[in-house]
Amino acid sequence: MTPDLLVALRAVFELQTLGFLAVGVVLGAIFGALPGLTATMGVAVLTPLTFWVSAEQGLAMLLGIYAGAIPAGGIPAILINVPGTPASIATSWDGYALSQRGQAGLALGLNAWMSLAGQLVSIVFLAVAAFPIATFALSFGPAEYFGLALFGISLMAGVSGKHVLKGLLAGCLGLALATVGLDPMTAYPRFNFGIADFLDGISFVPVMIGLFGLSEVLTQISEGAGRTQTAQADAKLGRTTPTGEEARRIAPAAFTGAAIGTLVGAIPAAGGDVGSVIAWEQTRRLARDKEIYGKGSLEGLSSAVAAANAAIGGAMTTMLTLGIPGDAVSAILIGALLIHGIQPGPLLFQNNRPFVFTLVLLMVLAAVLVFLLGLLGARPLARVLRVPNPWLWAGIVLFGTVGAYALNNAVVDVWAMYVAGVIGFLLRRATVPLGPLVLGLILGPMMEANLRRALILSRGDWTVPLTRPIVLFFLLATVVSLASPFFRRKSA
Amino acid sequence: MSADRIVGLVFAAFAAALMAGAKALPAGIGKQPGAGFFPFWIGVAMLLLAAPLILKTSPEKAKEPIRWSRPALVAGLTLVYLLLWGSGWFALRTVVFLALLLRLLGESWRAGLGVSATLTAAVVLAFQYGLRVSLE
Amino acid sequence: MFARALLPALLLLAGCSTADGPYPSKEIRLIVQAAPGGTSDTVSRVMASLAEGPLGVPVVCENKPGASGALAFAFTVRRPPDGYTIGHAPVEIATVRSLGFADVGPDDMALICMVSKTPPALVVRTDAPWQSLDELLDAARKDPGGLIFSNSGTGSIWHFNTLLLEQRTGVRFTHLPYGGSSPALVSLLGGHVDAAIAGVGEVVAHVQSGKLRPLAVFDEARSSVFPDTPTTHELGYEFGAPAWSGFFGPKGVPDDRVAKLAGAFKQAFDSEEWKELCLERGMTPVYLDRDAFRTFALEQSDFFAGELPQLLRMER
Repeated sequence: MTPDLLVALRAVFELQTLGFLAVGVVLGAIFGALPGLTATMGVAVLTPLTFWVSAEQGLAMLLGIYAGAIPAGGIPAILINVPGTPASIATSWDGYALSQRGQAGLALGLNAWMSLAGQLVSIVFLAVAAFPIATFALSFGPAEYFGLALFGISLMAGVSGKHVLKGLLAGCLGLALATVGLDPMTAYPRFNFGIADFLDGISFVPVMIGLFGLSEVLTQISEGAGRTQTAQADAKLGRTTPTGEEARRIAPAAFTGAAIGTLVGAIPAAGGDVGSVIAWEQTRRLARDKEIYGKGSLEGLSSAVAAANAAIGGAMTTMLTLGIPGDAVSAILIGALLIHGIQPGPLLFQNNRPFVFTLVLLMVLAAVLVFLLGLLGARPLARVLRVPNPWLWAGIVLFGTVGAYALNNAVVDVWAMYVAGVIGFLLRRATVPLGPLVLGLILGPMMEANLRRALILSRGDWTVPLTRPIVLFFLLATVVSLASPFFRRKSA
Repeated sequence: MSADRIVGLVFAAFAAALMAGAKALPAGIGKQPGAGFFPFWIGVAMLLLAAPLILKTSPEKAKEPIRWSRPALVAGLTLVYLLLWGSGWFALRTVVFLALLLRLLGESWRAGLGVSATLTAAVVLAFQYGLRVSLE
Repeated sequence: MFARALLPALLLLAGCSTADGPYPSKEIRLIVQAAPGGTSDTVSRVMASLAEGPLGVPVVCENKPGASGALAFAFTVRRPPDGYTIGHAPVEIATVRSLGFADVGPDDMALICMVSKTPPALVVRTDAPWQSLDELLDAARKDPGGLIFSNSGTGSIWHFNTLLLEQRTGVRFTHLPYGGSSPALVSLLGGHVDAAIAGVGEVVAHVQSGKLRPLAVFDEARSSVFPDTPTTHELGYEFGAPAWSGFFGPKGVPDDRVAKLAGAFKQAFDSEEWKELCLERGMTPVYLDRDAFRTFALEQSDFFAGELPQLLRMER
């Protein structure tokens, strides 16, 4: 055992540090589980508190929030079909279906297990391949980002279920809404109708709350849902751990999810939201029983959850090795570390190895803590299903509204939430899938800005970006992704 | 008219508006696409995707009847609540809104008021005192 | 009867919070125009916590990001001028009007004081062939538009400095805008562009880790974090537009309240914590009292009104 590791162990296993970690995990779980509160917000709000404690203690709390929020975001996604954070959108697809089948316990249990798996796998990646991953992330220029976004958008058909045409239309609607605001290249105002609040575009999180929170409530009301969710209330919670046979079936999906999540998380500006959708769709494509995905597939759920959580390790890898934020949360973490005089980056590995070990150990401990919390909490949490529906609906509307406002202290975000909720409801009634819409909103800005950056770099020549290997890879993957449904139909 | 055709027409109308708006934006310089390039081609894609929905004659499926009145009332009540956002007395306004909402959804006044008060207290505690968000 | 009793009580309540009585008697809201975690946010939060002591009431920061800060400025100047809502004043208070984001500027504000300044630095990768600004400019003259500069967004302060450099030295670059300094520097680190201009504090870490080399700091005096890097003034180019940080209230805040706030911020400015933060973040601690800050901010506003639209037109 190296002396650096000993120093780190001593720093971590100090009562106060562990206490801060536990507080962070619990707070993070609350932030993650409430729709409208995100991991980013939790870390941002509590960062100032860490100015007055040691770097290790402060970091323990912030890492705890990060590690606690992402798994907790899956809980409302599974129980009430409202994702707690953007990273848990894909979790709701199979998770809620399982919960409706009376297997809420298993879904929550898998959420805990796969969160642990995803976080641990990504930490292992961080420990053994930090610098290669970071170099890979840095090699992403505009053309590569465009390729990644294009590939992500090509998944729209896959996440549309039966209604491919309507799904693609919804995806285009998402792309169109993403163009609102200042043009990313020339800063010319687009489609903001003279309203300054829309110059930065429509904020994503309020729209997500509207699409999945308010519109879910309206849909359930319109379908004449009863006072209680009878099916679930009558059914037992069910077991929370998968059987050995199930575990064997899930393992490859979980590993695929974790690997994809780590890599996507490592790329700056792409996080668990994009990663989990890509992972879910990749797992589905490789699966034999494609039809069951989105209707309660254990593999689909596992892959999505593992990817959402693995993105944490990926983002941390980029942050630690390069000093570049891998996502919004790690951007705030860099700020917090700077306050303590710690500069993330390659020098950190040379000059302050004990601190790097401390950080990795804290991440492992946080993953284990949140796992235990998730398993212990599964049974009490599932009682949410016994709360009368109207109470739940009122709670979702209220927390969604206030959460949308609290994000940027902007009334316009509350309106974005409301309008998205009503439109989302109408689209659901017309059997237009919402998954592609969200994908378009997330990936639209990435695709447009980077396409145009790539064209500036190539002086307007569309062929130059094609000569780059990663771009070529993504383009091929896009073609395969778009063509595969047709091939399958022929062979079937 | 089938439901799919209506969906197709709505999306096509949106696409047309988008393309018209995109045309009004400055064109690119030289070979570089401008601000309107991306929205314009999204509009084109939407038109192409909407066409089969409009043209295709799909058999009308018998769907379960939808009760529009309740979701419309909930959406309307929420609209009124949001219009009053920022006008002061946040806690009081919220309790009244939630109590009305719950009554609309079939809860008794007593249960509704209890739940409303609890939820409002939780939000005020968490956001106003915990996160220092000024709710007014 | 009830109403008659209630009315005076309400008046009393309303009166307490705005008029008479010692100021401040309740918490002060500080509106920050940027998202949590960045320099503006850190400056505001540290200053707020340091000023709480002298003021004797909590100073609570509230983030209202959007449109380069225009939303936060427009919101703050429309609050009652009672000194209980103030805002962080970055350089953007002098640019958003020229950019057309919102009709708000220093003349709508009761400026309190300025506390820091961040000069821009021009950086290249350490494996780049250029050792000095002049070498880089020579290369740009030989190949107009051949050098690519990433920047933190069209119309942003660091993009403006890049445009200024082009205009004053008569060269032509290609500009690659990003949504902030961080991705712009990532693009430079990844070898996708040739150079970038960003705040000294934003590049210092990458310079210390040996990845980037500063060729010039756009300031009159040398930066404390880059003592070996020449300034543009030394090199004979007398221009450069720094970023800065100060505080403001809505126009019409009573003079004694502005003075009280300025006094508290001055005490915070004189603390060791503030000096340390400035050193870490590559900011220069500069204190301007309200009259000096007002003159400076109005000058800056006129300067940007004269230069920005023309430079941006060139770009578009």
